[in-house]
Amino acid sequence: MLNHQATLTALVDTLLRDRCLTAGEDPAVWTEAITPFVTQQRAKMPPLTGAAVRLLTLLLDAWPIARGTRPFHRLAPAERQAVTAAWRASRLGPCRDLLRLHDSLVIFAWYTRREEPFMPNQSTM
Amino acid sequence: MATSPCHAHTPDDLAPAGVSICQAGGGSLRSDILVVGSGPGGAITATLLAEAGREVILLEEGGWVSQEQCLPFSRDEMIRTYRHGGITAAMGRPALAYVEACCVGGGSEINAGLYHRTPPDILAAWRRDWGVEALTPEDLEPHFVAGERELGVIHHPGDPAPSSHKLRIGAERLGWRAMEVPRWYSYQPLPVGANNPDGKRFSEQRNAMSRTFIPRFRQAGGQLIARLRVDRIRKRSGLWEVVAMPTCAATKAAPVVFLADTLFLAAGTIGTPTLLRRNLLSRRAGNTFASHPTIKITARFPEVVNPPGSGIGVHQVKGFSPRFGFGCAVSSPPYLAMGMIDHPRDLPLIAHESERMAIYYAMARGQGRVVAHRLLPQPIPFWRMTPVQWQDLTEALHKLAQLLFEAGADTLWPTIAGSEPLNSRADLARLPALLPAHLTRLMTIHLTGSCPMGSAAKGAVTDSFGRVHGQEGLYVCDASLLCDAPGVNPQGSLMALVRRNALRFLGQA
Repeated sequence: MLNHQATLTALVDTLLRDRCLTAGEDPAVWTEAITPFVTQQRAKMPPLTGAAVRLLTLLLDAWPIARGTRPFHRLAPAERQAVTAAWRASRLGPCRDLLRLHDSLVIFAWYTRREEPFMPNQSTM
Repeated sequence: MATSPCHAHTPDDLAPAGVSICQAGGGSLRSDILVVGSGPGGAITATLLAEAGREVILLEEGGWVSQEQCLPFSRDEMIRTYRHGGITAAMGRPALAYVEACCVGGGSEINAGLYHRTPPDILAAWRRDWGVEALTPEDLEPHFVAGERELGVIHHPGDPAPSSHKLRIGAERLGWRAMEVPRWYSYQPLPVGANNPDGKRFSEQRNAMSRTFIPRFRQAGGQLIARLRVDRIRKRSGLWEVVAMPTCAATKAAPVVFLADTLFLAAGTIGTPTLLRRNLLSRRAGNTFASHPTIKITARFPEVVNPPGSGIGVHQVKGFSPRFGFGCAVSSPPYLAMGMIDHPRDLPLIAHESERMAIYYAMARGQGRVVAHRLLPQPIPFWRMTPVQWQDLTEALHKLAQLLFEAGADTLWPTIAGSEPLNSRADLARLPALLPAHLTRLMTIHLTGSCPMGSAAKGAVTDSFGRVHGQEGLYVCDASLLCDAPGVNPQGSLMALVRRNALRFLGQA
C-alpha cells in the first residue's frame, strides 16, 4: 500500500544517509528531527505545485513495486539509495527535480543544525 | 475609519501596538486609501499618504516577524518569512527558482540590502521603449536622495568580508572595475577580540520596512492589518471593494470587506498581476515580467575568506552591465551546502573548510509572463532567455570563474549538475561553450516588470505614475512597475519610483 508520509520520511532518511550523516550519527534520530521541517515546507507549496510533488512522491513509492519489490518506504536503506540514485540519473526531468527539491530541503536543514538546534540535547547526540 | 474586526494578536507574532493580526475575520472597513502589500513599495506609499493626512489601511498577507526575532538567512527566517516556504519556481528550461517574502515589510525583510540607483541608460531605455514621462536622472534625483536618507543607505564602515575583497582583487587584476555597494543597514562595532583583532568588524542589521517605514506609518495614524489575503476586487458605487480572507484562522474564517476611494496594489511581481487579471482589471498585466537569473560558483581559497559572522559581500562587478554582472552571495554553511548540491562528493568539505569557501554569482537577464486566471488555484510564471541572453550567461560564468582564479581560488564548483570541480585556469576550458539547459541550476531574487509603467500605446499596464490604464483610482506601487530588469538590485529603483508616484498622487510633485 502506498503511503505518502512514510515515503517522505523514508526519502529524508535516505538523503541524510547519502549526503549528510557521518559514522556514528544515528539516522533514525536525525530523520525524526528533520522530517517535520521538510513536511512543513512542503505543506506551504502552492496548490498545483504541491499536488504535483505529492503525486511524484507517491510515484517514487510505487516505483520499486513495478520492479517486483516492495514500496519505497518499506525497502531497506541500501535498496532505497539505489532507487534515489536511479531517479537522480533519470532522463525524466520531474524525477530529477523531486530528488533535487528534497536534497535542498534536507541538506539546508542539516547544515543549519549547529546554529539552530532541532533538539535541546542535540549537541550530545 | 472604523475599528478593525481583526484586532486579536497571536502570541507567536509579538506584533507591536498598532499592528493588527487578523484571526477570525468578518466585518467591513472603510478608508480613503487601501494599500495591499507591505513590502517596500506598499509601505513607502502607505507611509507618505498617511503622513499627508490621508486615512490609510495597509494589508499584508504574511505575519509580523521583527528583525530581532530571526537570524538573517536562517532556517527560521525561511520558515517564517518566505512565501510558500521558499519553494517557488518559474516554469521553463531550466526551471528558475525564485524567492519572495510573505511577511510585514516584504522583500526588505529578507534581502541583502544592496542599494543602487537606476542606471541612466536603463532610464533612457524605459523612456524610449515604454514612453515613460518624467523619468530622467534629474527627475528621480530628489527621490533617490530622500530614500537613501530615510533608509540609512551607507557603505560598510569597516572592512567588508574578506570574500568580498576577493571579488575586487580578481576584477582589478583583470582590469575590470569592481565597486563597493552601499546597503540600507545599520552597523555596530563588535568588541575587539580573537575574532576581531583590529576592531574593524561590525554587527549589522537590515533597515527593513518593519524598522523604518512601518513605525512611521503607524505613528501617522495608519492601520496595518496582517495575515489577510486579498481575494476579490471590484468597483462598486464609485468605491473599490476588496474582499480578503484571514490566512491564520484555525477555524472557518469569514471574509473581511474593505471599501476605499483609492486602491494601491503592492502584492509583488507575481501577486499584483494575478489580482489584476483574476479580477478582470487589466488584460495586459502579467504579459511580461523581467528577472535576473543567476548561476553560482562556490570558490575555495587557500586562506580564510569567510570567518563566522562576516556577513554578505558588498563588492560587485558591473562593467558588463546590462548584459551581465557578478557579485557575492550569502555564504553561511547552509548556503554553501546548497551551492554544493551538484557536487555531493565534496559536500563534507563544508564541515571543515567553510571559512575558506564563499559563493559568488553571475547574473544575466531573462523574461517571462505570469499566467493567472480565476479558475487556476495559483498563478503560474513561465520564463525564458533568448539565445543571446543564454550566451551572455555562459560568458558571465566563464568570466566569473576566470576572476576567481585571478583572486587566488584553488577550486571552483559551478552549479551545473554532473560537472567536475575546476582546479586551475587550465580547467576553464572544461566549462561548456554553451551552458546545458537541463543541467544548469538557476535562481533569482529579482522579479520585476509584470505591470510596466508607460504609454498604453506601447503596451504598458499603468501610466507613467502607476495608475492602471482604464481604471480610476487604481494604482500599482511595487516592483511590477519597472519596465525591465534594471541590471542592478532593483529596490533602490522601486523606492524612488513609488515615492515619486505617491507625491504626484498627493499633488506635491
